Amino acid sequence: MTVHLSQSEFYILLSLAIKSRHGYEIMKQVEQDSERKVLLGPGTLYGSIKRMLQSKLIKEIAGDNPRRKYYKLTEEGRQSLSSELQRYNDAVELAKRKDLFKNLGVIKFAF
Amino acid sequence: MNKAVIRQSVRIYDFLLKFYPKSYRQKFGEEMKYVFSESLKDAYIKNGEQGIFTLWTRTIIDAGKSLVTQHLENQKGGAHMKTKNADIIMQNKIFIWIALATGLILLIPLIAMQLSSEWDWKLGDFVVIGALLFGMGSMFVLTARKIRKKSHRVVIGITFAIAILYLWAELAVGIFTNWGS
Repeated sequence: MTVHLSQSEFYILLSLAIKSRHGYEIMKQVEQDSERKVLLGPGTLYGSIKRMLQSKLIKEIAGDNPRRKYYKLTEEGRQSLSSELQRYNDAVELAKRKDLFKNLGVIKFAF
Repeated sequence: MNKAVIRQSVRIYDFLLKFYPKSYRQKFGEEMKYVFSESLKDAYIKNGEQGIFTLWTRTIIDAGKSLVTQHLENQKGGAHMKTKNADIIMQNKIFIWIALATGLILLIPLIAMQLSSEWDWKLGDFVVIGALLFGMGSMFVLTARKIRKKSHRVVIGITFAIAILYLWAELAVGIFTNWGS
């Protein structure tokens, strides 16, 4: 079963795809991956973490400091991220086939 | 001064965390405080006081939104589902309105500073007045929730408004104290 992901959740899962991270590291990685288009505050970050822990997309693992808990992708999380990436990839492929990038003036991808 | 602003900012954020549902605060409060204090240091290293100001603006909006979300999720997760409450004071989205109103009021001195050299607000002034407005607004809501009679709420509201004006004037020019000096 795949869970619908919000934009923040998608980027958080993406940041955890390579390795386990603590909250501040996740925040910085999301900022970098999204080219500063997604800036998470602590409220949004931990709200998303809470929902993803409940949906079992991520799990908490023991860390070196109680203020820096580490989070890790679960198998369900990996599947959700993979389906979401596949969905984006399909959409991009479709847009390419229809030459939408050029027609809509999305220069960054057109050339 | 700058270290004092950072320390004060963490203290204010710690206070803000008290408005989250208890279970959420117990689970994530310390981590959130850690993330905020690291973000503060980072913002100061990169952009000085301007960085801290930008971070606070984002944090107030972020906290306003997540406070409402967490209280709503907390209510949904409770044993008894409640019917929709028409009383805005009882709805948690009022905290978003308080945060927005605080932000809008703070825009006045910010814009005035661009237009006149007579307005010389420092970052600390924005933080203190922002905390005063958001804190007093939230305290009014929490107090008014315990009072059902509308006329009593109006009296409480006027009292809080006078308290805000008095504290603001006291901090600005000092009426009975030298807090503003």
